Amino acid sequence: MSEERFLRIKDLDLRFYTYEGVVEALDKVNLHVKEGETLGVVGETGCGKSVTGFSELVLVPTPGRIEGGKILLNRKGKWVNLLRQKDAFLRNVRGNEISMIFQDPKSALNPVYTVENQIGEAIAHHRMEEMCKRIIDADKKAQEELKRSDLSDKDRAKLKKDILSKNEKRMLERIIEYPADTYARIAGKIPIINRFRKRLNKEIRKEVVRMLKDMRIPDPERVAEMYPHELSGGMAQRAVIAMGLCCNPTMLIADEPTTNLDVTVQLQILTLIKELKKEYGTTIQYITHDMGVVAEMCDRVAVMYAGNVVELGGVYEIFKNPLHPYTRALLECIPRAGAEFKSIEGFVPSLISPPKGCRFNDRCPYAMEKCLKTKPDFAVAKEGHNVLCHLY
Amino acid sequence: MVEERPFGTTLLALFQAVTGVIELNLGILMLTIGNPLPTVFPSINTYWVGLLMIVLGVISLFLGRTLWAGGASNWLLAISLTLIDVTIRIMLPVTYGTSWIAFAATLELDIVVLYYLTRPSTTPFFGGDGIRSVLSKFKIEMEPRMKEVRFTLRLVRKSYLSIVGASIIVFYLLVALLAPFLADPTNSLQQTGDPNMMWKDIELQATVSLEPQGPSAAHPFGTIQNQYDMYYGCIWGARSALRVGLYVAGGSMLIGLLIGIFASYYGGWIDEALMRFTDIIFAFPGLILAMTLVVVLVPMGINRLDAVMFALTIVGWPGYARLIRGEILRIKNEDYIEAAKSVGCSDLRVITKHILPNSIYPILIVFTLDIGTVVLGAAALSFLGLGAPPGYADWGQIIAFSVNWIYGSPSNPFAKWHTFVIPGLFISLFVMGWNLLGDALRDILDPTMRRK
Amino acid sequence: MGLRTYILRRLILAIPVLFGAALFVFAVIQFIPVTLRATLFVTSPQQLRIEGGLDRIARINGLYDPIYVQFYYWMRALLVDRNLGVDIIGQPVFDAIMKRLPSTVEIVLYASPVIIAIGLTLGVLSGANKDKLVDQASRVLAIMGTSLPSFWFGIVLLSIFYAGLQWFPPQRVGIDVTKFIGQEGSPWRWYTGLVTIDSLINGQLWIFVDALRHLVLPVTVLSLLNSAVMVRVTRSSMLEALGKDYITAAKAKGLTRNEVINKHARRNALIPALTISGLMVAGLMTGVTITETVFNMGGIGQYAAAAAQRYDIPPVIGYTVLSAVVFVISNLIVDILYAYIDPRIRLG
Repeated sequence: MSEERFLRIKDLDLRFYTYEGVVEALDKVNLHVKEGETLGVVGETGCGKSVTGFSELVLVPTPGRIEGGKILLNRKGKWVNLLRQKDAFLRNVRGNEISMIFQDPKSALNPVYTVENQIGEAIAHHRMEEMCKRIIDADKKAQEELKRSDLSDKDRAKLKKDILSKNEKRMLERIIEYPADTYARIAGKIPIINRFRKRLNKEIRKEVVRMLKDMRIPDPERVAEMYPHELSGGMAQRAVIAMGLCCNPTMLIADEPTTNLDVTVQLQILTLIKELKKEYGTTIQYITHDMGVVAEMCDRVAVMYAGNVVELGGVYEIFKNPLHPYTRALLECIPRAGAEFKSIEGFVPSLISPPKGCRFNDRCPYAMEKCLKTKPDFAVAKEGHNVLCHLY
Repeated sequence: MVEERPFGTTLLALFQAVTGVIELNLGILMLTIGNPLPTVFPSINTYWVGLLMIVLGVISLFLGRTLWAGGASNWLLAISLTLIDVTIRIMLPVTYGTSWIAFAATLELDIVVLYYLTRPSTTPFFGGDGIRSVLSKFKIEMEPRMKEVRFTLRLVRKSYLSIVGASIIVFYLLVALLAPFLADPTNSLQQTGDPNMMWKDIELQATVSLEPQGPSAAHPFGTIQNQYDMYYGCIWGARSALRVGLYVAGGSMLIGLLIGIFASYYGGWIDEALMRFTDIIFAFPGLILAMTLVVVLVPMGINRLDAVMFALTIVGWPGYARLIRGEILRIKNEDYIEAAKSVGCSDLRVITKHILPNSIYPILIVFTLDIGTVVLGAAALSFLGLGAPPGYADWGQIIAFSVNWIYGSPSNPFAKWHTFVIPGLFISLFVMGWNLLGDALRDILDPTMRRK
Repeated sequence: MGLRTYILRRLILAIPVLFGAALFVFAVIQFIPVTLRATLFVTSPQQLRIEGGLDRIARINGLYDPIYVQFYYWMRALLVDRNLGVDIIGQPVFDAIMKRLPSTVEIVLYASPVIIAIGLTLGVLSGANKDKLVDQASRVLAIMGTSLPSFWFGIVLLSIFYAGLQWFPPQRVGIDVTKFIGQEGSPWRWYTGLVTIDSLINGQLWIFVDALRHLVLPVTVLSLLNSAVMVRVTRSSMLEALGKDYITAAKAKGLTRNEVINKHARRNALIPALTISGLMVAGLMTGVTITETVFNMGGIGQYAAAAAQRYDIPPVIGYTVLSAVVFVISNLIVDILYAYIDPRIRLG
């Protein structure tokens, strides 16, 4: 885990244009993710945490529009504003550098295609070159090996399988050079000529099975051929995670991946994610409403309320020393055995006509005059700990 | 807060119940053996009047029950039912020429009911501290619904296709209503006694020939063979089309809804049996089944147009039955139904209060589209010679006449274009209006697409 | 559940429906007064003069028997003897239908691919580009398609393209072809009954072209209504598919818009559209009745329609029963195809 910042969201404004009015879903949201860490984004339903995740991939659903701010991605030292990029660039980022997994695994998978098909699709899209190179290398190696004289017939036969014909090799090299080549695509569909495609598919399938095995799925070859409705919730979510990680992205956005699962399965998935993080070193942005999960999984946490990030800081720091009144109230409300059940008074304000000033002002026990009129700055209360409150 | 039932209300409830039973029986008698009371119902169309009598009977029975039970929501229900009742009772003499006297008595009963419902002495029985509070409670209850309706109307206004559709429909409604003024029926009445039959220009018949003549001053749309005036046919054809469309679509909707609700309410083998029956009727392509029914019914002596309407109704109801049943089953499984049941809602209440309001949209859409389909079907049957009798002012019938003239004369193939182009445009525009509206409504009322 | 079990189940379920349909038709026939039905068995005036008249004829032919007996005989006649009665000129209905069947099959054969092609492509395009020009245009076209009476459209087309331009004539083939086929010692051999195919087998290319020319208008009219329905259904199922979560997931994988639409959305959208094609067969049968009459194609639809005009009952009944059978079988096939395509059903 480094101190290098990977992703920065600066003053992001997002509005949904609906019949009932303009919903100010995100209001000058500021947060950043450091490379290699797990950032938790926590808040109630409707506070904008999921939509923030979607914005990072510039995939905001239709009545929504990003109205202002920057989303900066650190690419090998250079900062790029994702909001100003062309679609082709973004498509390269999606799935490849930043990946996303979703809340309901069964609906995130297309019911009419196998698991292998869907994971393989991502691999084919982003790692085609690598796959082609692998096949060519296997061919070279096989050719080298065949020159030896001490091979049994069985070994010889096996190696011969890896040898490419001239046409196949030409096709693969063509794909390496022109990834979106139409000629190659069409040739891949014609029965006799498409042997190169079949090899590619086999290679991709190998990779898919490897991914599924990494996800601790038993009998991955069989699971790969299954359809989403045949999988249990936990398996499906593992498949979705495999889909997210298959292209080795630098960052994974996890949008409440365990909310729809049973508690026991939840634990399994959380453990899996932790282990995968150790193995792959992925930066994770974990969106959830469960403070317990945050405590378990995250290094830093961003607390969101009504479209604002109200507090941002290290997990221990925030749990030990919550600064924002909302965070304080949230932590007090965590049910404890034997203690009385507490809740925060009042309701989340409507985002169509959000309150002026601080959006928490009608429920905040420390509300002052200032809170009703001006919006607080995202001040630095301590090193690495920001708060959106007039108290600081 | 709910008081004893006032004596007046008890009387009215009983009266309504008795009237309901009488009317129900009259209606059933009328449908099965024919006109039992020729003095009350001189020369009427027993089929339709019988049906309406049954409807009136059911409404009266319901009204009786509502008056008996009391309660704020029943108060509103009673008023609505009475108003519907009044409408039908006025409509019967107007359209079917039934005697005013018989209906005047029951009309008065309705007026007494309305009077009673608005009296201060009855309001405690119906719950609430007066009519004003009930009305305001009603308003609050309906506010979210009204908001949705306003939203729908706004979307309707925005979608220009639905505006076009609605305007076309309004246009035809006006034409149909004003038909006697737009196309004078005196000639028809003179010749055949039925304003729905087109009149022949006998002079032209004698002087020129029986061949269709093009548009002229005397005949704005020209004439078709035997010198029927096509303008008259097209204008009065609007009446015929609206009548056929609304009655058949309405009738099949009512029957389909009743059967569908009945089947899904009771479930079990009743449901299975009714659904098999629906499947069987579905196994026959619509027009072909209609054709068969007409061919069987007409030789039995049933009026041709009535046979067509009856046949199309039979062909149409399974669609509605399946639709409402599908909706009911879908909604039945939703969580809020379980919630309602868990607080003790009876099944009927669940159906009327929760399921029906949510399932009404698809039915509305199918209804608007169905009118177009029905009119096209009736036109097709007329074209095949099975529908309206020759000379009737029905668009399909006019086109049937024109088949002989599509090739015009050897010199000018388009000589008789007016014989088929004009009535065809009338039909197409009519059906298009309903289709546009139904289509636009479909997009507007689809809950998943509403808020995009 | 397995594909085979599924097929078997659907097959078994179809039989009661067919039985019920036959029962229904039989019930409808019962509404006809006995005397009228008796006349159907009269083949010559002498029969009427025999003592007892129609009554006796009715009794002989079992019209006074209890209903289940009549039903039994009727079903037996239907299934075993293939006897659908005789029409008004004394021709056995079954033979008359068989003779005219190829003509109808020919039209339907050419119309179906047109309908499916137009319906699916336009529907997918429409759904993928909601509210843009393609969508608006195809919606308007679809609405116009469902609003025009098919018989009227046929008449207008005939007026323009035949009377006016002389391009596409009505009927199955021209006079020259009829003379050629019917002449003494003609080299023509019927194989399938379909003029287009047989002409190719016979090597008579000019007949092939002629037959095609005659088919253009009827196929156009038949395609009109049905493809409009298909476009509409495909469009809405496409829109539904595009709203699902897996589309967002696919986008998040970085797939191009084309890939997302064509690969992910389309297959899901086609599934409901396919079920409609079963109903479309019903539409074709109705359409065929009218189209054949307008264009004088000599098929079973025209036969039944002409019979209906004369209130000649046996052909109408025969046609109705046939339609029901065709409809039920085609729905069965669609159900099986559906199960094959949608893995959720196939694998239970």
